[in-house]
Amino acid sequence: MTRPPGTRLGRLVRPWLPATVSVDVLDPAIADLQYEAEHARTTTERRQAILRGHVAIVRALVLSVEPGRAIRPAVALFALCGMGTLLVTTARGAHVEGRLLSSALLTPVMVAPAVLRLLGTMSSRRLFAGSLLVAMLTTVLTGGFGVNAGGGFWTDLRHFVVALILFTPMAAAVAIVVGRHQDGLSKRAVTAVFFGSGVATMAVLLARWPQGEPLSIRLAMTPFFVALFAVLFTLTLLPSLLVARIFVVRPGALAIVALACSPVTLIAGAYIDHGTVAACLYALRHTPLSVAAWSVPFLAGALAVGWRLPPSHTSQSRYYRS
Amino acid sequence: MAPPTLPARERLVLELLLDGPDFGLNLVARSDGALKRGTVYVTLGRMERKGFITSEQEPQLPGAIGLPRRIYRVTPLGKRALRAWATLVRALAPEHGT
Repeated sequence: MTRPPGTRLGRLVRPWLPATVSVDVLDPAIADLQYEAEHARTTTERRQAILRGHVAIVRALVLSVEPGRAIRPAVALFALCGMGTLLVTTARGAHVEGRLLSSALLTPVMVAPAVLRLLGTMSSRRLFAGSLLVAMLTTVLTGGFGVNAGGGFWTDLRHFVVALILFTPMAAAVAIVVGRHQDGLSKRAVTAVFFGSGVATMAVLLARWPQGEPLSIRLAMTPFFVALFAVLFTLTLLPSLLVARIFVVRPGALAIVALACSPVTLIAGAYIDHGTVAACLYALRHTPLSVAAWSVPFLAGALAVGWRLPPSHTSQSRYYRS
Repeated sequence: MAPPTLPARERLVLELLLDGPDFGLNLVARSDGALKRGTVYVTLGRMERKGFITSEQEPQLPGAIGLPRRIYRVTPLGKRALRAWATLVRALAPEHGT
């Protein structure tokens, strides 16, 4: 069946619009466009009607934007970009280690959805867009994509794509947790992963206490560790847990399953930390106690993810029937 | 609460709707270019929020595809606002011979 004209545009923009604009402006404009296109006598007339209708819809939507409502979030986003730029530039200037530099870049990305939420933005899509915008703008302002570096077009494009790939899941995850997202599996899974990452990060920061590292440095690394653990738990732990939750009902049992699966996360973490499998094995053989202490955050985080992940409805109903 | 204002475009919409309920696209066609297609829906939405007009969806025929059109009609408040505006214009008009 042929799709009536304007349907695709409507589907594309409706989630981003306030309900009043959608009902008062978008729907009547699309309905009139469809009516006009349907009653056109010739193909040329129909095409003209569709073109005119689309132009009118776009113009109406632009006019519907209330500047007063958009100013505060826009100012907040630019302030976050500025803060991120300042942090990254300072970190680069001070020649700090990569984890602190990554934290400087990740901080505004993680904070943006929370700030937008405080300013009244509820939709997860807008929070995601705001967070991603902050990430990409901060990368541009800090000299990514050759703005200050003078790299070629293809190098810039490659950097842009890599940054987009890295930041998109992070922005989406934070937006899901912070936003008024439907309380479904995606929200619960992402929340569980972030909870586990938070626990693991706390364990890492506490483990560094005896090493005499200043508290400010440890706290400054928080975004990096949260992001790192979130990625590790999502890639190595979450798939097995999503299958396990179909059969396991109790949060405690699911936490034990997560603990049983945590060696995969541990191996991935060890590989990232040491660079090669040989170096991992060498560390395990020569400094087993240190490796054991190092693995505590992974185990604690895995337990927390399993504990927070809700069992599926199927397993729950099966449990209550029995 | 501030009294509702009545800009020229809204007056024109009210005048057009006094002839009977109509669709946004028809209002544009009947306005001789005074109303634009890109702005009429915004104006109509604003007028509806002010209470000058009301709207409802056109009943859709069975088998029809696409969105139902929205038909607009003037409310008693809209009629009163238009009358008040006409009275104001008459009151402020310079008298003949002065």
